[in-house]
Amino acid sequence: MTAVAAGPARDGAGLYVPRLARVLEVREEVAADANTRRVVTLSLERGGMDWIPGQFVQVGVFGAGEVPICISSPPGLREALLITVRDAGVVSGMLTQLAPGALVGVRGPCGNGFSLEEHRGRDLLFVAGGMGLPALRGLLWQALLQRSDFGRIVVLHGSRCPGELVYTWQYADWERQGVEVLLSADRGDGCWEHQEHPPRCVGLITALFERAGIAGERTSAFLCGPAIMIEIGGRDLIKRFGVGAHRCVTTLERHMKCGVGKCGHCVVVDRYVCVDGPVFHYDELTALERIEPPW
Amino acid sequence: MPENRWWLAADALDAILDDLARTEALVAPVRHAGEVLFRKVARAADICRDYVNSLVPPKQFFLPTPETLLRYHFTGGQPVLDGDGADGPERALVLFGVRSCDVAGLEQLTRFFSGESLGHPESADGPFLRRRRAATILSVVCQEPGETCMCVCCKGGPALESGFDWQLTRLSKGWLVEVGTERGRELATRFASRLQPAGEDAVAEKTERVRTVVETFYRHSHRRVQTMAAGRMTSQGRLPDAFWADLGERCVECGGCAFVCPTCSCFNVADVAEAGAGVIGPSGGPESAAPGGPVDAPSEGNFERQRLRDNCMLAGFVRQAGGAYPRLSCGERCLTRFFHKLSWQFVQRTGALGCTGCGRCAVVCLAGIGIDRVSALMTEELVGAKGAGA
Repeated sequence: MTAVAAGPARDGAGLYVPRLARVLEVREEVAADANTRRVVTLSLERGGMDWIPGQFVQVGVFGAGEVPICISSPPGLREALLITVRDAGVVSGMLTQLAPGALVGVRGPCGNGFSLEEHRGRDLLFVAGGMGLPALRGLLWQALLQRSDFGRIVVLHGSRCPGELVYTWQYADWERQGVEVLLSADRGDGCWEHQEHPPRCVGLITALFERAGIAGERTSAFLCGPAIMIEIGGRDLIKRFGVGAHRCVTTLERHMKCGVGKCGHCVVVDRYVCVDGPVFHYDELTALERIEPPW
Repeated sequence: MPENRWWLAADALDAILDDLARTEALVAPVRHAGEVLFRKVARAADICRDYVNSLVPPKQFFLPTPETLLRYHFTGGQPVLDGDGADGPERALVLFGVRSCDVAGLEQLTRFFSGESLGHPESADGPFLRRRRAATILSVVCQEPGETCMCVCCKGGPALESGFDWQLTRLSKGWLVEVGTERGRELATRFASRLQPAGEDAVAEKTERVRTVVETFYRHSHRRVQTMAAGRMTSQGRLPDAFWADLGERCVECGGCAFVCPTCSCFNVADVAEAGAGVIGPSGGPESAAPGGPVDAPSEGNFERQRLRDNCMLAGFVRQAGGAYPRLSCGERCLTRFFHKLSWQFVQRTGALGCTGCGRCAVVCLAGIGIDRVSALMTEELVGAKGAGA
């Protein structure tokens, strides 16, 4: 388990009180059409907040409610707080409709975050299904700021259809910094699959594992995406490619109402995803379910 | 320690309670429409004395629902926070007549909301702790186990070592008062003229009375929380899917078990408009003009962010936007609930069993799957598995 949050003290009364943050910029990632929901990346005022990649914030639309959204920008810079939101429910839908200048509520940062330190010197494999990439982007950025400390950095990004891939505007920049980007889509659109760059395939994201040429013993894998991808992807990497279970790291998604380990909505086995997670090692998750009581 | 034990004459208790009712808000069991409930009382004479326990635990005094966590309004279309907005306790509260199982439950809630159980003291819950700090607990030790009482199985009674400010035990000629906290000591100082140091005989009588309650329970009650077997089966994940599927089929998903449980505290958070602030949907939130259509964020009106009691047995509890739906089946939700109550994993995390043996879930469950029945079924599975393996 990784270090505790470097966030502002959140004692007593202020635990549920957000700070107001202005939307600085809005970038459309995915346009809404018959098959896809709108996805936008919002830059929010940072307001003196710092965080660890993998942490999340409770973002509130006043008059509607709060939702947990992972932080997509790296810590320690003067860059804004970046969140990428998909129009999936009432509050997230409203977030995708905001214009620059709007005020939202921000509480956090919440959760434990990734520890990059323990993976120094290794190959980094990012496996991101759909909206899983925003949860990993901050960590990828942090790794790129210390690029020479790591071996290969590979990003596998898959989605249901080509139009739902996010951060397409960043791939070239990542590649310039020595990142290998491989894409997959469950189904093609008749055009996307015939383009050559970045390398791509039509099929599940796990089909990219072979192609990425993973050296299991040297690799640390970071997975985020739908539950089924986290489960099957992790099992594949551990069993077929020899990635250590402790080197397989995931970040879980739950609809936390409080984000501070109180409301009980995010409990997985005996862990509160919002404070014990959202970042977990695979070996930790599998060990949780069966333990020997002392009687 | 003798200074922590006092003897109180039988008729002096009501004088103390009357005094507390004048200076503080006194909450005690009263009979209302045939049920025993904790209510504010004006004088000791209104208190119900012949009760086993209240219908619901007194947790609503610490986790009221709804509870305002934040207030805000819109000025010129922009949100403005109104202070920290949280409801505070109006005045110091004295709870008299709380049973040990509920004291143990409250102690567990306090550890949880202070962030101590999960190892996150920086996330202490201010609204809860403000209420808890403003409350004084005068518990009363049970003299006879009720039909559904099981505290003996769960270290939840009949008497406790901590969690109360005063623990009162009725003796043949008066009351034994055991002081558990600094607040309890202050109270003893305030009523010093009515208290006498308790003799060894009073302490011995209490011990004997508690022993009798335990003996009566084991001799006459057929209900148990079978903590050993249930703990083994849940902690080791040894119960087959069919076991949970079967429970899920019996459960009517009313959520009663969690609402009456003294250790259950799950809540939802919702932003709710004060009356007259735009179009309000069934949840109190905004509603789109056409079903499924886009929804505009409100830009006028007064709002409250409220904490509302929630329940892990209800289907929508873990629903996520975008269609992901962990624990879709009722059986999986039963697993989550009983795992939380009985597993060693949670004992390690929270410092105590998630059940204090109050027996309320056995009373309210329409399907007859209170914690006694479920733990008995787990024992059958354990014995069956052993039998099959032999």
